[in-house]
Amino acid sequence: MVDARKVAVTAVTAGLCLPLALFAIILVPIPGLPAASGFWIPAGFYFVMTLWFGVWGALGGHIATFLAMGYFQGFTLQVWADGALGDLIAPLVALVAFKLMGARPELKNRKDRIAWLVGVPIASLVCGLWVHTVNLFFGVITWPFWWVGVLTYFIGDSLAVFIVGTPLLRSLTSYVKQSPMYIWRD
Amino acid sequence: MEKGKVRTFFTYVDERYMLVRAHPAVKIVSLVVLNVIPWIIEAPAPLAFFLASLLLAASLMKAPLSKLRNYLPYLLLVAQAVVLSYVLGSRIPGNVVFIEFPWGCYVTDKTLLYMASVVLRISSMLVGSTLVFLSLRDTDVVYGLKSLGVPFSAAFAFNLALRFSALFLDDYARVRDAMLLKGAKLDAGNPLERAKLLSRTAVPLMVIAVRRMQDLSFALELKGFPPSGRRTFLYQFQWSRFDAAAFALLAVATAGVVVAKIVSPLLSFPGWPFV
Amino acid sequence: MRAVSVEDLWWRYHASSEWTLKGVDFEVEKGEFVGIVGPSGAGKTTLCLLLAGVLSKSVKGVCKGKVELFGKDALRTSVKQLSEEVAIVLQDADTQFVTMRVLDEVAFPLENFGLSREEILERVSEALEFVGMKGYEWKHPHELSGGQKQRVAIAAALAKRPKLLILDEATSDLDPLGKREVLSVLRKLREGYDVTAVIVDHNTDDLVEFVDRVIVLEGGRVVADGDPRAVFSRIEQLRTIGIRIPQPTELAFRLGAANGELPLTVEEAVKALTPLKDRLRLLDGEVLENPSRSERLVSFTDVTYVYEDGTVALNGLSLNVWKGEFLAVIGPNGSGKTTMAKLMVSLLKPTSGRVEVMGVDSRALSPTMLFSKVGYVFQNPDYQLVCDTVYDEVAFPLRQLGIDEKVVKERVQWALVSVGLNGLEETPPFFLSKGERQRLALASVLAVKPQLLIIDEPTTGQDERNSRRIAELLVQLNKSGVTIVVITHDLRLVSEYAERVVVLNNGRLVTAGSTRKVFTEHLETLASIGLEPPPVARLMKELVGRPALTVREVMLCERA
Repeated sequence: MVDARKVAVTAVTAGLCLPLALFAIILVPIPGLPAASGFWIPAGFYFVMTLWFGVWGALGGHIATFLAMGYFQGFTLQVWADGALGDLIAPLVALVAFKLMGARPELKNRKDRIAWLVGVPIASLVCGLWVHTVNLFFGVITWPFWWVGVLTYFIGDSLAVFIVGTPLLRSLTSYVKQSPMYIWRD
Repeated sequence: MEKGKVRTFFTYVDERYMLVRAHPAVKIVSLVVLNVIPWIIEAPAPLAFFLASLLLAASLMKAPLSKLRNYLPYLLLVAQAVVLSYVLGSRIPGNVVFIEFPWGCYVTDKTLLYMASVVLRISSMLVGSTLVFLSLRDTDVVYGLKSLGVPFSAAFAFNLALRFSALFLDDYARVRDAMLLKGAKLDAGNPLERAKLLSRTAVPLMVIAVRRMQDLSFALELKGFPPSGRRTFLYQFQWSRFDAAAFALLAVATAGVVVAKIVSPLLSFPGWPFV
Repeated sequence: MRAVSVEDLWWRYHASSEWTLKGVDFEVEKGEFVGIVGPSGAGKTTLCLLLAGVLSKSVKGVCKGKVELFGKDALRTSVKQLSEEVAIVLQDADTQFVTMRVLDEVAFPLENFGLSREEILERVSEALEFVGMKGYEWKHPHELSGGQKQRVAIAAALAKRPKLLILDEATSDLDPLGKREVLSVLRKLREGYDVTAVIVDHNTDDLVEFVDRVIVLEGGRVVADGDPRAVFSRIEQLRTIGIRIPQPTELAFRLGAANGELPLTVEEAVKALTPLKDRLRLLDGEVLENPSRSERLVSFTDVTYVYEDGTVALNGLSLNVWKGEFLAVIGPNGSGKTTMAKLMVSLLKPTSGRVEVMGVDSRALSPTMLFSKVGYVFQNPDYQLVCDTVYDEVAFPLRQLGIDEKVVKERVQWALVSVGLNGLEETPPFFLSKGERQRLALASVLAVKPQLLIIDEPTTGQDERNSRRIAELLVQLNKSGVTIVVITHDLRLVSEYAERVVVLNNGRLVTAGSTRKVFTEHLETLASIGLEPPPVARLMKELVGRPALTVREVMLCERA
């Protein structure tokens, strides 16, 4: 059931990530590509929110991406299907990686750190694959450019998540654990 | 607020714009249909026809077409990206080969048609979506999604997100100011140092976010959310003839496009999308 | 009939080893208005959220004891059921505003309860009328002031027709005008609304006007419970706990004018002290303006600042900040105080006119150039805390200056000792209490040893003990040569500590001068812009024709 806490997680994550997404598009644009960013700052936040609070954090990131990209590109099916859905899938992949490896977001021990170091690139790769395959189906790119898109997405997303997300997890997980919305049980 | 203007999500529009007064469900369905139709159509001529029809309909409905100008730079960028992609990276067989590249890609007459298709598709989606979004009022998303069967809680989260994004925009500015006042050179120095400093701004933002999350969840619960029984919705939207006509038109258009796609090659482009 | 019954209530948060509430016992009769006071960390908000039934069901913790609301077990009844009878207004006006319009906000809980449309509209109209917000139905939250948002929150609460209304520091974050707006609603509630109320507030000068009873919480325990006069007569005990005593009460107590009935308000104090009128004299207070100040640290010359949206925040402002002074900047919200502060630290550049900071045009400066000379402490310290430990937080600006780690260590230790946070070096900042975080933010600024310290609302939302601690620290710094500029709504702070006052309104300078002069000669001007001097000023003006700045001034005179 969708209770107040879940709605709060989604709404606050989306509210937090939306201005950051707008900044990322304005501050680090990719020449020639509209509403794209070379350093997707909000990824660091919604990955962390997803690891702390589960699917509702990912949903917040999804909403933020759709609104931010739509602000520049228009709120089209293409924007929703590529960037927004991709940004829903990516943090969930990282969450699954943590769950499968039995790791925790504190990044305290070796298992946690490996889950983070492995989970994030896999998630970014999956996201890159998704986004650019969708773009292919919309005809925006062709096959030869597909792999270029995937690679740049993989690098840009992973970097942003590592740079922004790592200090958040290390510094704040012990504080956030007190929240009733934290999904991991000790 | 100016007389004769109605406030919508992102801007003010002329109250004569017919879609503003439409039922929220019509707006949500229009949004979906006006994106799905151009996605189904592959060939450039039908896409051009669709786009022209859309613009004509918008004009008849007194839509604020001037607002579309804001998206022209994006469209030009898309066109640029598409041209680059197809000129340098496609192998679409055609009747006339204009250029051939050493890496095996080439440009033919069909390549140009293909490029035109893609630009027209994106343009149609953009025009359709924008015209709908310009008509969306605060309550339309929640009521529109609700009338299509989406749970109220989920639809409400969307509205809440917009409410909170304004608060966080303010927070971000203050955190940034605070960093500058601690001597952090956010606009100078090597990229790695700047990235490290910028990443530090994430900490206070996140602390504020987590606190807000807790307070918001209390506030919602104390206001009886989520509703467990029957919830009353204050705003009532009556179905009008315009709504019925709009639904009918959208249904016929969608069905027509799907049938045409299946039974005839009219809307298709050979080899799509694997070129 | 008993509205609230709390029996031996204990609460411990899951992550804490300490109990937040330790055997709290009290009752509230139907129709009673009860005030709850206590220092920060006493458990007031925890108690409010337990009364509303939300904490025990939403937050991991251990709860013992009993809470009954109108016969219902609040710890076991669902929040949904309780929320139909209990309404709570929280401190943060923004976070609790969950919709996009005033009308929707007030209607929201009623919609969730499934009331009929007609009833919803009727109740919304009634509630908005009651709080004086009729006509604002279609306004968006960003178009409202803090006081207006809180009034809408109260309207949303009242529309439920609750049996119990809880206000948890609902006015703490508001400017004086906003406070007055909310207090006028409370006054109306008191006079003619069928509701039981629990009001938590640090500002006892305002609180006493509305409550039949006061409960004092300290360290999770009830240490006093009774008639406000009886409770506030325990002045030394309350002071030690860190509770602000209403000035009329304190003054009457010290002058021995009580005759068993301590006054709580200015009006009552005037009656009580009139027999002593002829014996009352005022000495000039200890804080005097120093006329020998001649070195300018900051100067504003005909400065105008216009924001991007066209708002004129400052309009032809000219004033100086003198080296070594303790200056207070006061004015209603929107008067330009924060803009002025931002211009001083070069976060903003003037649209026209000139701002000079230490002799240099601010247009040639940047915040990163100035931060070692001019320190700025925000109202909300959470914006400024970016590091993992208290030590790193204080060391951060020193490391930006490239200072040697040995010196960094010395300065950090000095700064932490100055603010009373030594021993907490390894603690993550976000685990500290609000008062501690405020002091940490101050420490991180002090560590660079600035010549000028600007501090924004240092006592807002703080309890008396923390407020005094911060104020006295500022005085010590000032005595050691640091120029202090305080932006504040707290006119008691201004009266007791500031040497000079600048009053802004609508971006213009209304008046400036010594605190005594401004509070003596410009009382009406201050009142006209919504600024009310402390109760003792109004009280003495009534009695002897001249305002006092502090209770101490009147006391001294009495002994002489």
